[in-house]
Amino acid sequence: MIAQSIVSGLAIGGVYALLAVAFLLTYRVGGVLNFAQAQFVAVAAFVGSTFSVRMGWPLIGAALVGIGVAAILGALMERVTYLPLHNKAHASMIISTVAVGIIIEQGAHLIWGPDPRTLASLVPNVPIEIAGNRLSLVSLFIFFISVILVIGLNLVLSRTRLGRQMEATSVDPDTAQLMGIRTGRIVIIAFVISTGLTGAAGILVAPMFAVTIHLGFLIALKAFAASIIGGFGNLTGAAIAALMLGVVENLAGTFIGSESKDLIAFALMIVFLIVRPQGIFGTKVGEKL
Amino acid sequence: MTNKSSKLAGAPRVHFLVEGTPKTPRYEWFLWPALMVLAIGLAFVVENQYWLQVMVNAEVMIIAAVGLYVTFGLSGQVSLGQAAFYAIGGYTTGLLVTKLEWDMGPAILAGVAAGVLVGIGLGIPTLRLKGHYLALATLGFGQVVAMILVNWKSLTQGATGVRGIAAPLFGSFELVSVRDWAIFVGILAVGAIFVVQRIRNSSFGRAMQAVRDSDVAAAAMGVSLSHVKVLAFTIGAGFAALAGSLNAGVVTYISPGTYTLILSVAMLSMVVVGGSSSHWGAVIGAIVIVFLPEVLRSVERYYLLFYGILLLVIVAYLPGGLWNLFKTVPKAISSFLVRIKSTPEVATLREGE
Repeated sequence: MIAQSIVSGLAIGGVYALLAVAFLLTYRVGGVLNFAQAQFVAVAAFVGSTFSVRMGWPLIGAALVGIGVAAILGALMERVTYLPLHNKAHASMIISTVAVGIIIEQGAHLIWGPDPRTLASLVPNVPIEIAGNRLSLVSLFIFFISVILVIGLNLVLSRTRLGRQMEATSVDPDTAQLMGIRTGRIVIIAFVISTGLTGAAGILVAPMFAVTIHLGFLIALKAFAASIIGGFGNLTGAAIAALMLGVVENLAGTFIGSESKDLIAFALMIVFLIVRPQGIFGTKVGEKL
Repeated sequence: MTNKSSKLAGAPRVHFLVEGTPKTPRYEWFLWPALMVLAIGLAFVVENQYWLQVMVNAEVMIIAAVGLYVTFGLSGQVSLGQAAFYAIGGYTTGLLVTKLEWDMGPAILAGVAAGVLVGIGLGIPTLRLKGHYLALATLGFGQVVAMILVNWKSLTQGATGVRGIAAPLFGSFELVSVRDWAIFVGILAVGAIFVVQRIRNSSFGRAMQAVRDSDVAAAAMGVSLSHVKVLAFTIGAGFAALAGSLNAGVVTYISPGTYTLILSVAMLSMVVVGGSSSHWGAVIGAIVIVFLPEVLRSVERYYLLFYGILLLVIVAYLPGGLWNLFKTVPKAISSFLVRIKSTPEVATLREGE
């Protein structure tokens, strides 16, 4: 019982972690908080579902198309949010991402309608026996893929030329540009990676719920919460906090009651904002008044 | 007005950070009575009950929007949790009226007080955090309040909501019809705009603008960042709570479904679409955002799409919002007229700069 609860917590925590690092990537590189993430989750799941269920594509192909569509939408989003607004007040950018979310949501509603769709998991939904515990293969799969993607992103950021260019752009875009980095292109790439990862999270999480336009809503909000709990701007910290959040809320849901499950993430976030705004792993942020 | 407020400590020091000095236009003495007459007059002129209801909604939203203008437009803090304060006002009023049988008037005042208290309580810790953080913190706060409303069933009656919120305003004076409410809310809305204008022109208002434009410079000039920020945030919270209380009174029924992130975003959109540089922008934005779905009823399917695109276009390409558009068009005409006939208008403009 406890093992199963922890494993499903790790699975949903993995999805939160993917979303949290995706959220922080555009924030780090371009200073954009993407409040349309929830809609990207849903779009990828919808596209995946259409290709696999309606058109009979193999699941892996449908999943990749879903992720690709999310990534392309991400590149388009950069054109209407970061490009015209990166020199203006933060507030404008926040509102523009919310507006993009509204547009995507309504577009998806017009294309796919209000009825829920389904998307099967990439692995068969069978329990497997590990050390006497029956664990869900789907949950384990979601957890492992998420962790691999998060670690992969970390390696890209820390080990490759592209990653260093992103780092330079995030630290000081003007100087980075003077050093020959095409910062405009770097920001687009950050958007594409970010929304692609968000799409991957959508494909992973879709089998656990029905595919509706609200699929990503609560998940994305909790990923925001996790990114604050972990320490804003710190990708690894946010990913670890997201995994812990998934486990904690699942245990709370099992042992305290299902109402507490959704409340815990936001309550923790408020507590952290008040007591320790730099999060668990973060360095000092914000300003002291 | 200007002379009086500049005697207050702090005002002259931030004075030059803010573009121009707020001046009292010559039509001011006439404007407020005229608006009051308009608000009351509209309540009598509009015959259709449905449109009367929409008008009251717009007036309620004007109150919330001008409050958020102080938080966002004047002091530059992004709040994505205004719906939570709206909910706190609505539920405080609704529960006091239905459970404790309070009169409507005191219940509304209590709703505002609750909103202000929670605003201070949330403001003091979270305003240490800059723009991005505050947006996330208020977003999370909105979510927590929405979940409490659904789950604290013994107090809020959960998802079913609170019904029958009706009581006399004070003593035996009761607002019965939608028209009565339209008059009452109309007067309060004009009052709210007036109060916000006074705040904007006060030393605190100018300190808020200084903080918005450069908190470092403002702090160096002796502006207390924490006081100004918490005050601006709390004013926004209080107005949102007042709007929520009035809404509960008008509709007589509240349920958690109203107080979602969508409402918070809508309130912020009002300020942005109308133009965050002026409280009149918030007023226009509130009217536009409330009436837009009614006007676009025939193409309802596409309404939200249109709304999203409108928001995106205005933020990206029309940063001053609709109010700026309204202001620049007559200005272009008047500058054309000025060129024909030189007026003292030019001299006053120079002086203001």
